[in-house]
Amino acid sequence: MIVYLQMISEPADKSKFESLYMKYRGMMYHVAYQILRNEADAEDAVHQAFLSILKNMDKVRQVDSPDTRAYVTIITERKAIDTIRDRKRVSLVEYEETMYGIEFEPPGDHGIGDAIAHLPAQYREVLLLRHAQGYSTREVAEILELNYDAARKLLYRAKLALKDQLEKEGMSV
Amino acid sequence: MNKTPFSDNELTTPAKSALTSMMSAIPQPEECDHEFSSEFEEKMLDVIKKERRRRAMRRASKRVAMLFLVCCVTAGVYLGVNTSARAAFFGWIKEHYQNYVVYCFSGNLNPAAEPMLPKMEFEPEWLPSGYVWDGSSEINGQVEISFKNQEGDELTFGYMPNPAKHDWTTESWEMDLSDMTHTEVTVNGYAADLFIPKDGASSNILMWTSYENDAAFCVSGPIEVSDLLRVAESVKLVNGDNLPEADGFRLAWIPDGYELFDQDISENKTHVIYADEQGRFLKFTYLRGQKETDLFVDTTGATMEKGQVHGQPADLLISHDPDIASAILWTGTQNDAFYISAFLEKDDLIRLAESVVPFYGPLYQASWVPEGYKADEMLGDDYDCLIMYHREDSDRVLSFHYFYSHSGTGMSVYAEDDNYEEETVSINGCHGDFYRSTVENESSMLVWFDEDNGITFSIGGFLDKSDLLKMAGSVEKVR
Repeated sequence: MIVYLQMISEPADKSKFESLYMKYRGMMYHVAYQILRNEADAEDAVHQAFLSILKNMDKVRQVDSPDTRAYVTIITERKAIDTIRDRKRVSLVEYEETMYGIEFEPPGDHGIGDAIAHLPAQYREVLLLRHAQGYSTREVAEILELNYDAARKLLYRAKLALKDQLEKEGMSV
Repeated sequence: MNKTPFSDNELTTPAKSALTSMMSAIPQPEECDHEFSSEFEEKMLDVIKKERRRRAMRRASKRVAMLFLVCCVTAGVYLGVNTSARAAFFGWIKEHYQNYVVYCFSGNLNPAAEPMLPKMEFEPEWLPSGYVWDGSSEINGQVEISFKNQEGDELTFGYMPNPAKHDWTTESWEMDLSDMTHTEVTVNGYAADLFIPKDGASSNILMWTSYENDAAFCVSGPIEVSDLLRVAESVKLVNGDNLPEADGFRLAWIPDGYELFDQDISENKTHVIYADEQGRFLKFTYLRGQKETDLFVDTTGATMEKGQVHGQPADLLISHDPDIASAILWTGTQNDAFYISAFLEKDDLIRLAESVVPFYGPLYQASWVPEGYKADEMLGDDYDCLIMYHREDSDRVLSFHYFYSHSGTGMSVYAEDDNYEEETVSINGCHGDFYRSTVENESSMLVWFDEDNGITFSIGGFLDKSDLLKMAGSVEKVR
């Protein structure tokens, strides 16, 4: 069969998730591939990212928005790094602190913004979710699939890492 | 714990700057093109289907109109769409996907089109004290009736004919019910599902299907479970045609791993065999209006047990020999006899038996078929039907598929577009597209749409254009 027939719901009835899937899947693949450099692994990470996003659809306010684009990028980066970590079977802390994920130029403020950009991915992600995207600690826990205490600890460690980074860059806190 | 040196206020602006920098390194979604593997597409299709079911359940718990969402629950493949490639014509939207061309009917059907769904109206005869009719609506053949009391509490009754078409009753077991507790109950002997919200603040929901009426029902409201059951048990057919006599019966649910192996369907008998990879058979037999017992069942080595199929008594033969199948037998209202044997546990045998649904045969048929082809397989029902023709002297297969679109519901045709040349054609005054295969060992395809009646047709096979058009032109309504 070269053609098959299927009923679909009306376009207006497409869910937010399906719209999000249509819009961002290519971009998410790009993000995952930049980190993983392997097509199958990148697709796997995108799939895992969508599963995670689906669990937290209430966090997506509007499909076509810079916030959502940033949100799906962060989740995809996280899942790509998880993919590597799972394959290498390394312990969480020592490995996570060596992973920088997405490569990008710092904002150039010679201050906290640059230091955040230079942080390992796990610390950058949690700070961006909490302070740039405005999610509460509880919401961050849900997004990263951590319990509340673990999310609090991660945020705390991220701030300590940020302090260290600033000192490393010769800036006083 | 030591106090960290940053306050939330200190971090907000620099975090936003860092995020902006990060996102400037990521291309815009429109700039990212990737052809995903079929494995990925399949996995995502599963995710989307589950999400639709979950969404349907969530909405149902809020709006209560659970039945009206079944079409969404059963919706199938969904792929990314390039909206810039849209071209609307004849009420269709034509969309180009990565590897597919999709036709989606977006307009309203001709009001004169005769719906193929059976016309039936149901109402509950009993309501809790104080509730009166408040309004009703019909969407795509699915009806919702609302009742309210003086306090403004809303009780809703909904129904949809023939849920088996959507295989909804089996799909629903996979739903995520994290917000509700689920209990199995019965309504007039029919298996039913009771959903009670964990928060205690929303409506209780009761859903069931009726084999007798070939319909699915839903009652919900902020009332006690006993009252909900009483409302459900009082539901009666108040207006409409009785269902026509079925041409036969079929299994709406087949366990995973089984595929059609053989079938013999005649006027008074249906005998279908499915087989799994180990070569184990699942057999379904239906005998119409038996005056004498024509069914001989070997009970050697089996334990006889009593059971029920939709409230009707049934006999179960539970085998203790791993090489011999267990079986279930029961009779219908017209002295019909049903028999299923399979290598299954008792519960799955009953589930199989309760999945049996009436079968009404194709409503449209082609009166001309190329020489050598013989129809030997039919799937679906009268308003969504696929007929397969096999050529006796080769492995060549010809398929004829039609299905009815409820008003306002999209219908799509998915066609891989890499290896085909497309040409617009006219079939009995209807717009159509002919897809000629440009590669070896790929069949050609003809798709057309009867807008007046809301029917989409397709024929695919190793035929040239003239034969495909001739066969398409011979398609007519047979009853």
